[in-house]
Amino acid sequence: MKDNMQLIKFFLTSFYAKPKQPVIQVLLIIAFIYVAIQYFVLTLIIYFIETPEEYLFYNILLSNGVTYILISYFAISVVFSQSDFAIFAHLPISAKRVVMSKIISGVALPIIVVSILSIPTFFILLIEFKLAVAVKSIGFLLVMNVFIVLLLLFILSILNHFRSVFINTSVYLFVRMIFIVGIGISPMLYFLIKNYHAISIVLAKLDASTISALSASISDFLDIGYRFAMQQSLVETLLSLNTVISFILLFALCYLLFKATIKMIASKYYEHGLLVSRIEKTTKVWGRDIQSSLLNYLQREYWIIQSEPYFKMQAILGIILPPICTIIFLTLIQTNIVKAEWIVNNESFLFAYMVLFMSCMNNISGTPYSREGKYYASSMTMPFDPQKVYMAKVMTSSCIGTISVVISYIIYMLFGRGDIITGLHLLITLLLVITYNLLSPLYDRGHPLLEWSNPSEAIKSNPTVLISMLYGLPLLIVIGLLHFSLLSFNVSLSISAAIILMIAILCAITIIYKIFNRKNLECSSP
Amino acid sequence: MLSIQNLQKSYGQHEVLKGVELKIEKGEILGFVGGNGAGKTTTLNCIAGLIEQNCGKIMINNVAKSQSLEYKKQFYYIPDTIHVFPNIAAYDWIHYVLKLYEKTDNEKLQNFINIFGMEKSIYKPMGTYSYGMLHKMALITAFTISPPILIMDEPLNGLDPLAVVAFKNCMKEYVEKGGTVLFSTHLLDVAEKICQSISFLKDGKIVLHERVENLLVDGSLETIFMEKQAHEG
Repeated sequence: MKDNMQLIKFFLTSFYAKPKQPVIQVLLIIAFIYVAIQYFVLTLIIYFIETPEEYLFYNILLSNGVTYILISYFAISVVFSQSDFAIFAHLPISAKRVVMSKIISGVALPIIVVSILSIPTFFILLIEFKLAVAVKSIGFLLVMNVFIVLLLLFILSILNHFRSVFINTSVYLFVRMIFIVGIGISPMLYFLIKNYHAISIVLAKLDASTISALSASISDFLDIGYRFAMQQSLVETLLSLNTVISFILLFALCYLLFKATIKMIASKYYEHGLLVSRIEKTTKVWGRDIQSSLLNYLQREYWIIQSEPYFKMQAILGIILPPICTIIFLTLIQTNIVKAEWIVNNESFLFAYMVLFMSCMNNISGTPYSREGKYYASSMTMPFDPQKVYMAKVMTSSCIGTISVVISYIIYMLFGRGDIITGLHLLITLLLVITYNLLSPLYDRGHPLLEWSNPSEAIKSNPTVLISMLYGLPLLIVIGLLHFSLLSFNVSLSISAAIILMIAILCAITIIYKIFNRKNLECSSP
Repeated sequence: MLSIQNLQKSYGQHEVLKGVELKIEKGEILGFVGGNGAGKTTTLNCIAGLIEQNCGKIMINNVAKSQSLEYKKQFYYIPDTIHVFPNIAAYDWIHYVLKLYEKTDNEKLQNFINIFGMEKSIYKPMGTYSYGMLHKMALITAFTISPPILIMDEPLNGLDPLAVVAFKNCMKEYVEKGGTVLFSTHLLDVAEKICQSISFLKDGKIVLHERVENLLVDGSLETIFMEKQAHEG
């Protein structure tokens, strides 16, 4: 057991390494406090507008949701990663032991984080219920979180078992992503389908004129969810059981899922680790005869993305996510599920902003230098022009963004929408995406995270993503606010679009000029 | 001690090993020599279980190659590129590996730490280590474990002169106590001095396997290597 603890510690410090820069450490603490406050405020709102029972129900749901997101974002890629194979394959250690330590260390931190976030909930429960009930409720909440994590890991371990069936790793990673999203949203979809009529009535009646009217509308919506959940046979069975029995049942299920997951992953640990050595691949070289130095830089970017299936998957995701959201958004509008007047009236803007945010919210543009990893040294020691390296990175992420934006707008037009203003919106969106892509790599350029063993560390666990969003997103938010302000002052659609277009052009030119000017100053200084 | 029969490995269409045959007796130091891309690392990785061969049989101490703990306890492998947990202190890692081999002799460990001059740096995270320091750390682990056979891929790369001397002495002592060594190297003068046998690998095949004293009758290893490369090429 002591040896296992040591191995868990090794993995834990490897998966969730503390950032070296004090600034990022402080920033992460601030981010955590910010999330904790938001979580607390959200639970407090539910407490004030709902009954204690509903409050407890939604707290469990919220906690489960946050756990699911954190596990999906941080733990899945490390639990199923094969990067430790080179460390352990030749040592006398069983695959089961390695896998068990990986699972525990991968999920421990997210579960601890959610548990810390649930502390205020415990005190609120104490106000409403007796101590024993509050302890029991919070215990149930935590066990449910563990159960959901293990259930997700078990399902994904089945997929992992058939990893060799997929033609390449990128496809496998993509299917896994679809599984994670699918499992996550399926209960919501089930709820929406089953309560379609009731939800559309609540949405149509949505009154945001006063706070009390808004809280009443939200309360109506939450009531539907609570009543629906309580009618489910599984919940009814669980509630009818004695507390001790239901806890024993949950613990037993967790234990079984844990053991089954370990067995499933461990049975293929060596086979999947050895997969890497089975084939020899050569990445394509294009434009060998073209004498353009920028093309060489773009070629290098292409090689870096090709170097890891995870990077390829992120690039594909960056392209397809906005079009998928577009289809969902337009289907909702087309089928009249969303009847709220403000959504229908501002459909074109909401669409434009959705595409804009979805195109900027990918992790590709904020981490181009960290992605280089061991190849970064060559860009420093070989005669590469840093400015061209930077431009190639901006062009790569802008290219991904542009493709996704254009596809989204084509889908928008195929749904029978689109006029001159849509054309203007497309132009604005593209310019803002490029502007965002120009800004977001700036921090990563100065502070790249290069010492990663798992490619997901370079993207998902990279604090520079958070920082790039911190200084990149305000630009989009300010422009969004300005746009809606213009509309609220009854400025016509085309004039407000034209004003925003001019601002977007100005932003893009200013940022390009500033970056180039700063570089020129750096070059000219002795 | 170690026997390899008809070892074959290919990456897609590219055949790297074309039937390697090798035998090492207990207490022997065998130098594995060959040009770049000859298949030395692939052979060693196959033995260590990092690569699965397409065909062939590998036995150590009459234990057939598998992913079993019994097989893996027969050897300790030092690859050319050493993968580590970057935030873990080398001392903690070595301790952990020793437990896996059921060898927890702290005195012996401390002795090798002193021999390789790692007294100060052994408590630092491995992510801060240079290439040579990682190799020193791996050698300390290897000699403390003293498994039946040591398999090393270019173990002298990155080592400072003092560490090279320490390595030679430790290896001599290890072999005297009944240990066996298989290591690949490009340093023919070193191989000449410390190996008892040499195996030349070329284009995925062993083209020469001989005891060093027999080889040196015809000249230095360097001359033989050049001749073999030119002749076969």
